[in-house]
Amino acid sequence: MYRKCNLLIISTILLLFYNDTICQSSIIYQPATTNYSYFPDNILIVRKRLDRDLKEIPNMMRKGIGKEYDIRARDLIQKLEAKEFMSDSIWLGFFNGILNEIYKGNPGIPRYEINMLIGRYEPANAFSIGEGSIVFHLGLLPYLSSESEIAAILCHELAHYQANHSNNFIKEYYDFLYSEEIQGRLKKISRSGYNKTARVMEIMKNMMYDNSRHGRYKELEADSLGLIYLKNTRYDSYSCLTALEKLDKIDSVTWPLIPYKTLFDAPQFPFNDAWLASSKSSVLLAQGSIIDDKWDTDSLKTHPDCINRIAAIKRQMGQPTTGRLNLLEGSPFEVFKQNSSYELVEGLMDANEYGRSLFRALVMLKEKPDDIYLKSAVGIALYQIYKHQKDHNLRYILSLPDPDFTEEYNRYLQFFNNLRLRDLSKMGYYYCFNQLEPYKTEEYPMLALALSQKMINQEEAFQQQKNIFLETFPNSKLIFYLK
Amino acid sequence: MQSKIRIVLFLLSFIINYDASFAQKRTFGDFNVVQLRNLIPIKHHDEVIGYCMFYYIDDAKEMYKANYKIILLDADLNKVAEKEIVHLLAISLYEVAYNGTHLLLVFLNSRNKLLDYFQYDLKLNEQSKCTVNLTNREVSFQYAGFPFLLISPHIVPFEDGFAMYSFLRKHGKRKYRITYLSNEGKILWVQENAKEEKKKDVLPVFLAANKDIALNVMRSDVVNGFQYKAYNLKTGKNVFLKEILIEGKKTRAMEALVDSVGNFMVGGLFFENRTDSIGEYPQGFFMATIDPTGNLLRHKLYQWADIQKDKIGLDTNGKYKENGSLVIVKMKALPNSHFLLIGECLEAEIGGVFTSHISANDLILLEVDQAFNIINAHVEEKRSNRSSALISRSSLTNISAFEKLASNSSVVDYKDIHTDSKGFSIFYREQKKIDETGKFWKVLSRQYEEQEYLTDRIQLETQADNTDILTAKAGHLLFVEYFEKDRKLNLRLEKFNY
Repeated sequence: MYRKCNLLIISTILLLFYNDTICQSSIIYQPATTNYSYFPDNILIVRKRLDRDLKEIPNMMRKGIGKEYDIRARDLIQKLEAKEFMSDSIWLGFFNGILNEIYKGNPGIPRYEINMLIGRYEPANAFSIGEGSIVFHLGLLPYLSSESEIAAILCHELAHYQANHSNNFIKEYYDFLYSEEIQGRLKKISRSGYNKTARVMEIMKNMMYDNSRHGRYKELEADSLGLIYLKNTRYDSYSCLTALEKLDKIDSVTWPLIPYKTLFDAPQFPFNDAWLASSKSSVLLAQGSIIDDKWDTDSLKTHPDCINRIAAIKRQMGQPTTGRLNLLEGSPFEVFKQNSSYELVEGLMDANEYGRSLFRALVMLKEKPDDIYLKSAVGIALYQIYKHQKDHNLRYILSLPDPDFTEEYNRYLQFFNNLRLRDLSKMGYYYCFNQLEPYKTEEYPMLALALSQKMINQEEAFQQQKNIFLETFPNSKLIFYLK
Repeated sequence: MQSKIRIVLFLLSFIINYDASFAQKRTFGDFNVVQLRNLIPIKHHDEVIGYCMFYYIDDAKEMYKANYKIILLDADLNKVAEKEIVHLLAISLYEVAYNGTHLLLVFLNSRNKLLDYFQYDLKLNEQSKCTVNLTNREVSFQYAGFPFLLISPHIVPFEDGFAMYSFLRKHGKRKYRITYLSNEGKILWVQENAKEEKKKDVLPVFLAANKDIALNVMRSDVVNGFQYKAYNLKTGKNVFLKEILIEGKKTRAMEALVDSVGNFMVGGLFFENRTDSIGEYPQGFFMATIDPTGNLLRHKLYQWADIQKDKIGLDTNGKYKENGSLVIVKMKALPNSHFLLIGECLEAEIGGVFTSHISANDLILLEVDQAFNIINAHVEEKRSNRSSALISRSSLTNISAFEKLASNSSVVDYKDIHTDSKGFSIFYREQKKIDETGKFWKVLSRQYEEQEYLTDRIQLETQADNTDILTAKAGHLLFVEYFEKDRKLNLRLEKFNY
């Protein structure tokens, strides 16, 4: 349906959305809507594609490869059922508008086989699943600067699909495992009585290095084909270089220091500096380090370094085209970019990932200290952390500090791990009361205020506020929080 | 064919080793190819800072040897280091000690009758190793041991090395050997039974150390050992070996801490001054300060019947209401220099010929301040847990038998205590058998500034085939789940509420 929209209609909708968002963002951000029929429609598409793909597998390989296809499809269906993708027509219109521009310049791309999915996920990533779905993570948007950079990334993923990389990878994997040589070696190891693990590990190591090497080659191939696609559009082809340069720096992006004391100090319940104490639990970690000399991590990379990719693209590019950075009318890119951070907070809440949602909301509050939506999101997430801790389910929503996490995220985890339940309940209650009381007639603040009553066991006050909420917002998607 | 592929895929999961599948949970590699032999908490200054996992991987090319893997985790279950070693078959990790810079791992090899001590740095680079040969009887001695040996450490970590206590048996007599291993891997001194100790048949149990000397209490199951032994940490020579009588009563220390000037504050049980005191029930508990030369500086005795009569009301034999006799299962020196006594009321009734039924009833807590005053007494009422124990009818009359029971975690409900500068938390099992409500643990906590005790109940719902609870970092306990069908081990930290 969205693929048939013409650019003008999309642009008009986007323009309206743009103005609407600007008006509302000065009051309270309104998250994107959920189109409930979008998900069953897409599940049907995935099932049809699975049937199509299974028929194309040669008989002798159907069992092994078919199983992999089936796992892949079921995983995607599960995510669609959990509504992990944006279904708002305005958001879909924005991405499909960019896709339409790519299709227009590249009629060879089988556009009706492609299904654009916008994942409500944090990691800055995009990928082609292999059966026709292209997934673009919301978490990638804040790092980009223009529509043409989105177009460059989509062209790369379309190239993966066109070259059938994903399906070829599965086939190569099975060809390797079932090859006479490998089966013979495995049989020999199985019969011997010693060092089995090390010997099988050697086979695994070679296989993984081999796969990684092929993976790197395929990335370069997709870059090359993706560039051809991009050059055929009216977008600026140089954007595939700027997008890669940004991707290269994503790992070094640091989160700002969250001012916990400023946020949670309340006259009724003063902040205790001891809550910020660092843990002794990483004493060993501070002194030890993982020794693993068996694996060459460079050889395991499936993507070549961005620097090498940039060099290869530069060689291929020759003279950059003089395309445009933004084509959609009203240039709504910046609004979508800005809103993507809000949508990530909302998406994480919808996915019950309250720990991450709270972290992102706290990070955003540093830039927007008066934002009522973010304050409400903090209040709702604080209640969820309280509830999960009380029920001994904290592990489902809050991680333990981990050396693989950023320093600021570990500081955040440590802070909430240090809080006793009784401190968390009072801190959460007074935060909501002091920050949201003036906005208690609005949807999100009203919910946060109602939940804060539960944190201090004021059941009667909670019931009262719950009833008011149900009367005021009978169709709110937030009602399930009150059940 | 499929099974081979499965082997390969399982191996892959082992290579990756563990994934954080859920936030506060780690899932470890597959057990088709590796077996976890031991998982031991690593403590530093009485606080859990990590865990040591010891895996059997497979048989090695050399005869009678196997490939093993040691993995170090920090207290948040992050992998710190790993190392593969080739060692004799049939070894198990017996104990792990950490002194701030180095680790000492003790492996017991029952087949070859060896105790192997491996000293590692935190990157698991081997610094040194030494071996103690055992006889058959000594192997069983190490395994079955004696209650007080099972609960006392065999390695005591110091800043510059480790004191290794090995307990042997020669010519029917118990022997001990204390070996001091420096951080550089050198044995600085060895101390064995002194002449004057030979007839006593007793073994030292470490209590506390100041910067110069280590204080031990000599214990035995054959006779009630009441001697105290202090040795010099630099030379290993005895500073004193003496019995300490308080108001004519024999004392047996359970816990000690060092005060600001290097004296030892000691707490424990006291008995009538009888020579045949093996079957004697203690008359109460004592607190005392001993200087580094073994002189008694101050003391206080607490008869059972005099302890907080209005709150607890024990009789002279330490019986509490109808709930059995108070058995002190743990005496703990708190960071604020107070002592906390944790007792359980155990009641015994005769079962079969060799077994008896033991009911573990209420918990009793007593807190003693630096001036030796009881500043807090608390009875935590809990459901009675009944279990059978291998203990004869005749043994049911004396405290030593109860003390043996107290060292058996399947009989008593107390599990562990966490302390920090703000308060303490005690874990205990409320219900031992699995019934319709499942088993659960309780945590009893008190903050020093707040007089009230808070109780948190942790219901451990799991589909796992085997479970265990281990001590963890402050405010948490570690729940270990093993799923037989999936051959998977989950480690899960449970944060408790207080």
